[in-house]
Amino acid sequence: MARTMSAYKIDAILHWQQESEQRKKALKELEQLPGEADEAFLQRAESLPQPRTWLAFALDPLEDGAPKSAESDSPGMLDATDPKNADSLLLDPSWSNATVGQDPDTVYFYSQAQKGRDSLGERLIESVYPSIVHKTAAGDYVPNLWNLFQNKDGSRFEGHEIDSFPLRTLYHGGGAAWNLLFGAGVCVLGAFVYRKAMPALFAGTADIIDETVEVVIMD
Amino acid sequence: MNPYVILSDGVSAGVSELKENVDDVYHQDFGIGPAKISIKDIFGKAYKYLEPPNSTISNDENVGSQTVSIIAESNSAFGQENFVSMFDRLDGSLFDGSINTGTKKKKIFAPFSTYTPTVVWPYQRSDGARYTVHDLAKKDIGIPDWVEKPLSVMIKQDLDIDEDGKADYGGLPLFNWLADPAMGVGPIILTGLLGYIAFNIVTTAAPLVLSPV
Repeated sequence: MARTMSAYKIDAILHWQQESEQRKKALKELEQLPGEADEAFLQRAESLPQPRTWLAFALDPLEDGAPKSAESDSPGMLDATDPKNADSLLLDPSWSNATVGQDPDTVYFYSQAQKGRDSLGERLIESVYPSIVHKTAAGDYVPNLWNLFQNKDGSRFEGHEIDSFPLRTLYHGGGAAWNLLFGAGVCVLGAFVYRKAMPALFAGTADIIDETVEVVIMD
Repeated sequence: MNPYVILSDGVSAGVSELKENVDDVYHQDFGIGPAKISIKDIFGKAYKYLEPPNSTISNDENVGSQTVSIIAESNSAFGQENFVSMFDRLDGSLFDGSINTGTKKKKIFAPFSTYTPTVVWPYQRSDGARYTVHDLAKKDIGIPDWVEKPLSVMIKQDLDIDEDGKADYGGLPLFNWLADPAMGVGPIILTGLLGYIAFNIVTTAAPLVLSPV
């Protein structure tokens, strides 16, 4: 499967995830003090560290400034000679290193680290499709649960392990067909769940409207 | 034995033998005494005068992404970009990179390599990266030297665009226009299949959903 990010980048991503969640939580839990004016409260909220995008974090993890230079060839046009950019992740050569295929140990480490996260949705998505693995062809989207191919050592057999390009294309073509069928299956299942759930919802809503109308008319 | 196999083996052996013979003649020394003359030498000398200008391929690093998503948002942390937002970011450009001959640039038409969502993209490089029209351009055709040189003179086009000494597909005429659509045929068929299935699901499931239980 595709490519697994470098340990350096994964470590940085985990830091960013942690930072983002802490900052979001701090903002969410912020309460207005007794007697505090609305404007003062808003100013206090704005003065707290705000959640950042991944790119903003990667450019300047320590938030000490990220000077740029028009002549710079570095990623993000960062001035590589400025000491303030010493913390920039983009300027580290390890940034672009990646392992070919899905590295099971790295993915396991990352998946375990995801268990401590707040969002259930993100935990679920990360358990099926770890974000640290770049998916580059259709076969990479087949989750491990449904994967039929395995190496002798128990690891997942991946498309890039096939030397012949036509066979590799056939492998991923099969993956694409599976993705389409699975997507269609999810639609069918969703339609039935929707059908089962909706009558109750409709009935409940209709009852509320019915009772409200009755009460109004009776008055 | 299967007659097809016999015929196939025979043709294959014949072609190999012919190729070897031509190759032998091409490299054979026809010189007398210390003077060494071969067809290869003559071709080489003539090629110096008739050789078409050197061509190279360039790829725009800002175009495309390793993972092209349909629903998921773009996220530079994970090398992922949504195909709609990418289309928007690139102002609807359908080209990526070019084949350069001197100052002349032939832009490479690459909408499928750029925007086709990864979930239906069947091409992958041996190093696990997304295989695009640029990788196909650098792929060796596998023709011998005695075919490559006359061919490149005839079509007035340098066939070795990745500078590895071997003819590449990217050097062929109209490659920049035709290769990417050819690569897109597979995903188009799959997407058509998806559309067909989705249409059938909607027409089948909609009455079930809308009808009273």
